Amino acid sequence: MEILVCVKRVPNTGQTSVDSSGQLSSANAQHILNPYDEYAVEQALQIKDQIPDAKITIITMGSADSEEVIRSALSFGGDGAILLSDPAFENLDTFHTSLVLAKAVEKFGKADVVICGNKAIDADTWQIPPQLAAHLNWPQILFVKKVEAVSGESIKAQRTTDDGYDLVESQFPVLISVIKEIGEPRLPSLKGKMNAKKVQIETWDKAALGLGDEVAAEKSFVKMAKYDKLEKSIDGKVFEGEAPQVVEQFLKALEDDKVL
Amino acid sequence: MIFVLAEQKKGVIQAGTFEVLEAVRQLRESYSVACAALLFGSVDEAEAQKLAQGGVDQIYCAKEGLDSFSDEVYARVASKLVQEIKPKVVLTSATFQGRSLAPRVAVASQAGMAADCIELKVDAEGNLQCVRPVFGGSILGDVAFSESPIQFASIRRKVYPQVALDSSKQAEIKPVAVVAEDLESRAKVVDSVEEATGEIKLTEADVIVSGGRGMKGPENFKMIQDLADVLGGAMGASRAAVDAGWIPYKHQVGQTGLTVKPRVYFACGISGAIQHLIGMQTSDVIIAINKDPEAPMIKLANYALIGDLFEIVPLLTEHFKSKS
Ligand SMILES: Cc1cc2nc3c(=O)[nH]c(=O)nc-3n(C[C@H](O)[C@H](O)[C@H](O)COP(=O)(O)OP(=O)(O)OC[C@H]3O[C@@H](n4cnc5c(N)ncnc54)[C@H](O)[C@@H]3O)c2cc1C
Ligand SMILES: Nc1ncnc2c1ncn2[C@@H]1O[C@H](COP(=O)(O)O)[C@@H](O)[C@H]1O
Repeated sequence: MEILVCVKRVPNTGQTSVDSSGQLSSANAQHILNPYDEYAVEQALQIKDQIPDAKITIITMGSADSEEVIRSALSFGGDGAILLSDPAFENLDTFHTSLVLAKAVEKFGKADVVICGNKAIDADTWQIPPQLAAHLNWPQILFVKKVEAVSGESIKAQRTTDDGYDLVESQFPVLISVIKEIGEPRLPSLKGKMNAKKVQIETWDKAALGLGDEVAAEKSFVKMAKYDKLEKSIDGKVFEGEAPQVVEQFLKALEDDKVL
Repeated sequence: MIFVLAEQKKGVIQAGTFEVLEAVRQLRESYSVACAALLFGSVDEAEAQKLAQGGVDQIYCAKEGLDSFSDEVYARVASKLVQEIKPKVVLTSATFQGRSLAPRVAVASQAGMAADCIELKVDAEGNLQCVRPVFGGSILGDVAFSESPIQFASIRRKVYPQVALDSSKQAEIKPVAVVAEDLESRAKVVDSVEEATGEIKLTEADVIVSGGRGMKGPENFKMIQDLADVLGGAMGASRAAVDAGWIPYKHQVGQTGLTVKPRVYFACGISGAIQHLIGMQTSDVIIAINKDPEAPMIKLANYALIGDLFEIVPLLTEHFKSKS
């Protein structure tokens, strides 16, 4: 059984700035493995716990700097890694990012399950997992909180809905995205850390994926025109002193302002 | 044309759909264009006409075999209809269904999509312009759709109010032909479980009372629940409290928890780390209870009560109880 885990390198929260012309800069930010993707790796390892001969391959589309997050994903466990990197892959929209990933899944050829996080904390698009499944014409089980059963040809999982959960069964191949409730990621073992250093990372560019000029930032359907930083600081009312007075003054203000 | 992917459960059109129709109403104030909607599953005529009352000019109903949501099947049916009617803009609510369905239909339609938008506008040519939160909501991004003949967006829940219904309006209901192969799906829903907890859902709540590490232990969350109860609200928490095992994950507010936008948010013993703030900073009124006047939450609060929450919270509960 072959599992592909999609991970992304993202700037750490709060470390991205916006300049006066509305452009983003993460140049000074520390970069990390997208936190949700740790759950995707953990899910792959949970499947491997049950099917020991399962092979896990980490895949990411990003700059050459992504090697570090690939290695940190591998330190949890994993047998191989693929980096999709090309100048043409910079600043793609989700349609084209998921197209690149789909071409890579097709080139890899043997994947039974592709596992994604449910969203990336930088662009918050929520779209890559369903769009990747759509490009591949695969079934999808999104927002998985628990895999109930997995065999060599099918998977049964609970996916979170707005008011509960569905139990969904799918044949392979299938794409799943996971949420935090699948369980806290295990700690990287010493063996895992050693392994992470050894694994060869394959790099595929646009040509290797058989993609042409249709993949380019200028050809993207969606462009981020500009950004604004939300820095809310309110001149609120502050109440200090003994608790009964604090509460009394606060309640009076609430009443004056007709809040509750 | 604007095309809305509507959502129904058990024959009832969902609130998120009426929020989308309010966004459509506002768009049509400056840009005159027809609006169609697609409704899946068995919905009776009177319920379907609510879409017309909310401004829809043409209602498509795809009934047979489509009562419950299936990612592949709904996407196939919706994609075919998009191809047929060629709308310029396709909108849906960013619910579980909307987030699963719309991105798939966008790919099938060779179209761009902006997810979880909080503001929609159109330019003179009818191109959609969206504002969407990125980086967990700490930054807002403006999306432009220059190269996309069809433009998809999902709208975050509870940002727009539900559209006012005009009961005098009616629209033609067109059945959508569905063939057997449209209904084939490799992923099958074998069971659907509603977790009716009786609790008010955090994302729907008008008032939220949250507790953090300052609560000191699981037993003290009763104090938070009591205040939430008298205010008819829901109970939230910071990740520190969840990670300590004091309260279940489903109460967590923040980047790796829920994004909420109640009318009133109480933060009790929560310092206000960026990861927590981005889950609740758009609340209408924020009330912080903290013994540290320098806590970041104090800067964001409309009302800051400096002091010991173990003294303050019970006094508040007592007051609101005596009032109700
Ligand atoms: C990738 C990542 C994702 C994260 N996601 C989330 C998330 O989704 N949600 C989230 O909440 N956090 C998240 N965090 C964690 C976040 O960074 C903070 O660690 C967390 O929010 C702190 O919780 P807290 O405010 O309850 O605790 P603390 O920061 O410890 O604050 C406790 C506060 O209680 C006050 N206090 C103590 N005793 C009393 C008393 N008796 N009376 C009044 N006040 C008192 C203190 O003054 C202090 O301000 C995330 C972190 C990372 C790295
Ligand atoms: N550049 C990328 N490379 C690999 N996987 C990605 C990439 N971007 C997104 N993903 C996957 O898609 C998930 C959802 O991301 P998003 O749709 O961008 O919010 C992530 O958790 C990853 O698993």
